[in-house]
Amino acid sequence: MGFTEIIALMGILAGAFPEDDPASVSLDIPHLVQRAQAGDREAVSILYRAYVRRIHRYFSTRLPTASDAEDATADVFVRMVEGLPAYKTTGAPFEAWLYRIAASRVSDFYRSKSNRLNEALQDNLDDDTPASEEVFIEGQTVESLRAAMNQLPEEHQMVLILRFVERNSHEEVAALLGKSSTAVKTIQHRALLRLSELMGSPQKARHYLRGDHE
Amino acid sequence: MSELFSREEQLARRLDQVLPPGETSRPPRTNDPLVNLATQVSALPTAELSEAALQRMEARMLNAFDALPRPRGQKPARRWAEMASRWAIAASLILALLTAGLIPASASSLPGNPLYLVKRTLERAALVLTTDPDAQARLQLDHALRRAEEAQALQLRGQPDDALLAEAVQGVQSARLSASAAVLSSPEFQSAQSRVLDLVILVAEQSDSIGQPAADATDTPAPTHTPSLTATPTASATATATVTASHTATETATHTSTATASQTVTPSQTPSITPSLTPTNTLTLTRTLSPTRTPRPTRTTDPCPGNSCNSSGVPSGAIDPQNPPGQNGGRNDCPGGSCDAPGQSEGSNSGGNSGDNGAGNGNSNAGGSDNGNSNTGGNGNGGGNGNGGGNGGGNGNGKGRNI
Repeated sequence: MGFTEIIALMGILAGAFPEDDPASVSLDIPHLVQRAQAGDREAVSILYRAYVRRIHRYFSTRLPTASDAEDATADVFVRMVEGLPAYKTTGAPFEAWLYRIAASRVSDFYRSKSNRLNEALQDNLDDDTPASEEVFIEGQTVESLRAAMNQLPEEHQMVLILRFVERNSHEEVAALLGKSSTAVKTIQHRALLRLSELMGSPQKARHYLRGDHE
Repeated sequence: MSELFSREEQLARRLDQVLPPGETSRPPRTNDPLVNLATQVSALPTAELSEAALQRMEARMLNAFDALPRPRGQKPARRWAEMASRWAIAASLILALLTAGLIPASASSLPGNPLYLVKRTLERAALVLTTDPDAQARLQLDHALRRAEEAQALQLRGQPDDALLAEAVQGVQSARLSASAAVLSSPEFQSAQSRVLDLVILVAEQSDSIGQPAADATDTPAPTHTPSLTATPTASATATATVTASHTATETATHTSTATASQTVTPSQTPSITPSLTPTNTLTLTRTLSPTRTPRPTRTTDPCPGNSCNSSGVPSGAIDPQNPPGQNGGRNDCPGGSCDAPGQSEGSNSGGNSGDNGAGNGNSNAGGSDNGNSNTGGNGNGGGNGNGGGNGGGNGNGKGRNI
């Protein structure tokens, strides 16, 4: 464990770095990954602390309950340690891999609960509650937004979360997804348009859910 | 200006204005529905993680990490391989030291001792680890010498073991097969080889002289012990066969005077000795001694019949208190220690052999003529023969390896 990592870890533990952005604590992520791959328990813990809040936020925007989010977050890091030995360091940021794991975890979640979820969505949409800003803070509207987001292609959802929940720049999202920033802007545009349709037009959303794709 | 950009780019710019990257501030409401939607997404409530939850999840992850076979399994495997190679190096180092002459506890162990198995295993390992044929040959010779020494030590305990002698002879043969021509003809190899064979001969003769009198007192006098028979009696039929043959061939040609001294056989001994000559003896080659040796036809005869060579003054035939019959370490040229100075009797024969090989044997011939001297001149033994003392008398075990 290098000196800078010790300082960084102390900082994280002491709350000196409220944000868990690895850049803000200048962690040497590739080196930590190498050590974790070699069986270094401490390195695994540092990686966990560096990314756990981001991954948790991702899940909390995509999964219905807090316990689902916690469960899924823990799963991602279990999968991380299981996958580390086979993980190959590429040019992509390490967290890109974590987000991919997270995305597939979300897919698993909805696949296993698809019927129940669809019913719940149906009920929500049947309410025809206007998606106005005024009621947005109410749980039901939040659920509507989540439900609508869940109907977007995985990549679109990821861009929306990385851009607006995580507040990454276009370039950062491009790096995370392995795309050009132009491509990210295009996806962002389409995703918001689509989401707007889904949110503003419950009828359309219902058709979408039934598989009547326009 | 905005027309210069695509709709995607224009939206991107508006979003960057309202929701600048890296900031978490709640943006104002705009008239742009898409930007407002993005603002709603950014306001999606995200549960904060408590420290307890963080630790819970971390514990789960670390449990999985600890239970993983892979990251933990691979590294130990690598470590194990490193350890194994280090052990191999260490083992070969130990074996090298062993063969270099450092004698650990097991080296002196004898059959029946738990350490003996260790000793033999180490020897086998050394052979396996050695790839150079010449080095193998040296090892094999070395091991053969140990077998002969063990046989001698056992014999002195009254537990003769012919199989060990046979192993010694086989070891010499194996060494000869392994060695290159250069090594075969090297003085070191030859002296080591003759050391082994001399010892084998010695022990074989001894076992005859020791074991038989007790068992068969009426044994026939050694007819085989003819002068020409420099051939050594064999302890066991098989083992000795090879030994003797070689012995004879070379003996006649190259035997040195000193050697003769030690190897002279007293008539009194003959009864117990049953040398057998094997015509098929392959060892003639091996037995070649140093060129400086003088031919010695009289090898078998005892120049000092009776006590003539008994420098110590012990009456011939009297049992030398220092040299109980059962412990006579060397070839018993002087039964009863008649030809030995007190305290050296055991080494009498070995002394002679050692003389062959050069160490402090010279005295054995102090008396003069190459062969006869041994007896008459207070041969090697009588004259404070270094070897005799060193081996027989000094140690009391009669360990006959005199070099």
